[in-house]
Amino acid sequence: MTDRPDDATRLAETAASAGPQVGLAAVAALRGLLEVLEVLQVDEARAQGWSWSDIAGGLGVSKQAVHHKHAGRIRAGRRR
Amino acid sequence: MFERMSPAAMAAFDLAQREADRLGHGYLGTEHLLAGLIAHGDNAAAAFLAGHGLDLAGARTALDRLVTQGRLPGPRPADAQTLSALGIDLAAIRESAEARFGPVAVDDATCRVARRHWWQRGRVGRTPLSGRPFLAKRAMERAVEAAGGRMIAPEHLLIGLLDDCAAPVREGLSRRSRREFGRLGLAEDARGGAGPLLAAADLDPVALHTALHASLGDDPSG
Repeated sequence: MTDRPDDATRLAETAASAGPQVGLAAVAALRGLLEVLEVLQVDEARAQGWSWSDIAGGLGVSKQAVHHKHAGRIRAGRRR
Repeated sequence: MFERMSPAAMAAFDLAQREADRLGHGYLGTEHLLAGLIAHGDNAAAAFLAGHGLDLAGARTALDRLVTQGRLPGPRPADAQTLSALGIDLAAIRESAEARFGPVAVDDATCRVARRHWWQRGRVGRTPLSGRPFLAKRAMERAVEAAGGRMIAPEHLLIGLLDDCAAPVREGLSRRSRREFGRLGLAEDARGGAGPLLAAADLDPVALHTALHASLGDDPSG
């Protein structure tokens, strides 16, 4: 994290002065980041032989949801 | 395409990114590429433009003036900056993900997330790991054509840029593309690109194009 004091103060200033404009843009960026990390983790879990329901349990969603979202991509990846 | 770029052209590309950083732009357009070519300095394209009276200081002044006039977007916070407002360090996340999964896997995942269709639950058009949208694709295509089978050198990039000025990319876009451009800060009537930059420096892209072909000893039609 930020152990340097100047970094920490700069961060606090940015966060304090940030209106909804910056906040909303940050949320949108975070959503994109989240999707990438989810793809990476799910692919890794499948490669290690995890079942869809185990992955779904980890993500806190139903196994149908995680299968619907990721199975097509992983199947297409295997065909390549 | 990028594996066929000469080292000088790659260096100019990096400098173009630097120019977009300087202006705080969330995209990489032909205007940045032109400034990058000039900033690199040690190439035929920069020498040619210097011969026509366009140097780095002049190009930067023209760019800044276009920003003030509102013909190019003003600076916008990058994803890394907006995320740092939430206390999230994008560089650290990228580093840890690359250490865990490898850079190739991270790039691959980024690409797949951004290209997912709506029926595949595609809710994200772009991620903070994607890098800047590249708005000089047609200029690059023209550069590849100009290079023929050879390595793509800076002068070929300049030919591509000048070709592209003849009909700016931002004409004839779909509604969705116009919306995406709006998100980057590019208003519909505020066309960016190298064309206005050359116009601001009192240069005519068509005349430059002919002169450049003549100096390279090529046939412009071919």
